[in-house]
Amino acid sequence: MTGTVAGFVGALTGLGGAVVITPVLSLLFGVPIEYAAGASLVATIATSSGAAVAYIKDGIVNLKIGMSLEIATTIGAIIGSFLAAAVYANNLAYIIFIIFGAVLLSSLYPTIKKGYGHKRTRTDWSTDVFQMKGVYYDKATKKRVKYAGSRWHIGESIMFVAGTISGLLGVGSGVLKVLALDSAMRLPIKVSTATSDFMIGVTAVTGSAIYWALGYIQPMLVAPVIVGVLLGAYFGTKTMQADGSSQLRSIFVIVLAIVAVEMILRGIGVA
Amino acid sequence: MRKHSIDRMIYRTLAVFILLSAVLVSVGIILSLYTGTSSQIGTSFMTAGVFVLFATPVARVVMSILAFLEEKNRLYVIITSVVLTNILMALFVLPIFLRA
Repeated sequence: MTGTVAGFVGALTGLGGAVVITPVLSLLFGVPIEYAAGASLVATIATSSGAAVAYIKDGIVNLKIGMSLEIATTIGAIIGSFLAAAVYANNLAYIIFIIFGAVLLSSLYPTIKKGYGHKRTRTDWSTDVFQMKGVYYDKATKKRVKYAGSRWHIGESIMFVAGTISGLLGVGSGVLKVLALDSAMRLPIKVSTATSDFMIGVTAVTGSAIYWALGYIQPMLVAPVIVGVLLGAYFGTKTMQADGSSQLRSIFVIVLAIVAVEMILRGIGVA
Repeated sequence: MRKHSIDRMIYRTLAVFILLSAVLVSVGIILSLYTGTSSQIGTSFMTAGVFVLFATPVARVVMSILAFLEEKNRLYVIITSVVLTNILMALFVLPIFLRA
C-alpha cells in the first residue's frame, strides 16, 4: 500500500516518491533510516523507469538536455552517498532526519507555484552548444509546442546539488530537478517534469550502487515497495497526462508539510 | 524515421526490464510467504529483481549512446559516455574503497 501511494504521488508531481516512503518506513514502521533511505532510493529507480516508459512513448522527454545534466547529477550522487556513509558510520543519523525534513519543506514551495503555463522561450549561448531546441505534442491543448532551453550552466549547477541530495538522503530530488529545468533553463513544465522523471533513475542508480555496497538495500524491505511503486507510477502518469489535478496536489502538499515537520522533530529528538 | 525506431527500441527494452523486475520481485515475495521469511530462494529472486531494476537506467544510457552514434552527434556521444562511466564507477570501482 505504501509503495502504491508513493509511486502515485511521485509520478503525479515529479517528486519521485521517496519523500513518502522514507518517512513512512522510518517514522511509522521504525525501520532504521539508512535502510528506509536505501529502499526509497531503489523505489525511485522504479518510479522513474515506469514514468519514463510512458513519457518516451509520448515523446515529451528531452533526451539531450537530460543526458547533459546527468553528468552533474551522477557525480553529485556519488559524493552524496559517500557523505551518507560517513554520517551513518559516525552515528549521526539524526542529521539525516533534520536535512530530510528541511529539504522536504523547501521542496513544497515550487510544488505550490507549479502550473502557471510556460513563459516565452528565450535562447542564449548554451541553446546552440547543447542543441537544446525541441518540440512536443501537448495532449491537453492538442498543439505542437516548440521550445528551447537556455542557461545550461545554472541548470547544471543546480543538478549537481540535486544529485548530492539524492545520494545523501536516498531521494530522487525531483523538485530540484524540475526547478532547474523549468525555472533556470526555462523549459515548459511538461517537458521539465518528464525529463526530470527520466533523469531520476540514472541519478538514483548511481547512489543505489554505493548504498548496495554499504548494505543499506535490503531485498526483503525493497521488494514490496518496488511492486507498489510500479503500479502507482503507471496510473500516476496517466492522471498527470489527463489534467492538471491541482486539488489533489494541494492535499499532498499539506500532508507532506506535516511529514516534514515530523521528520525534523524526530531529528531534534522531540518526537 | 530513424529517430522513432530508436525511441521505440528504448521504450520496448525499458518495458521488458521493468516487467521482468516486477515479476522476479513478486515471485520472491510469494516464495518467502510460503517458505518463511528466512528462506534463501525468496531472497534470491528479490535480489535478482533489484539487480534487473538497477540495469534499467544503465540500459537506457547505453541505448542513448547508440542513438547519438546513429545521429553522428559527437558531442552527445561523449556526454552520454561520461554519464555511463560515472554509473559504472559507482557500481564496480568505488565499492572497492568502501570495503577497504
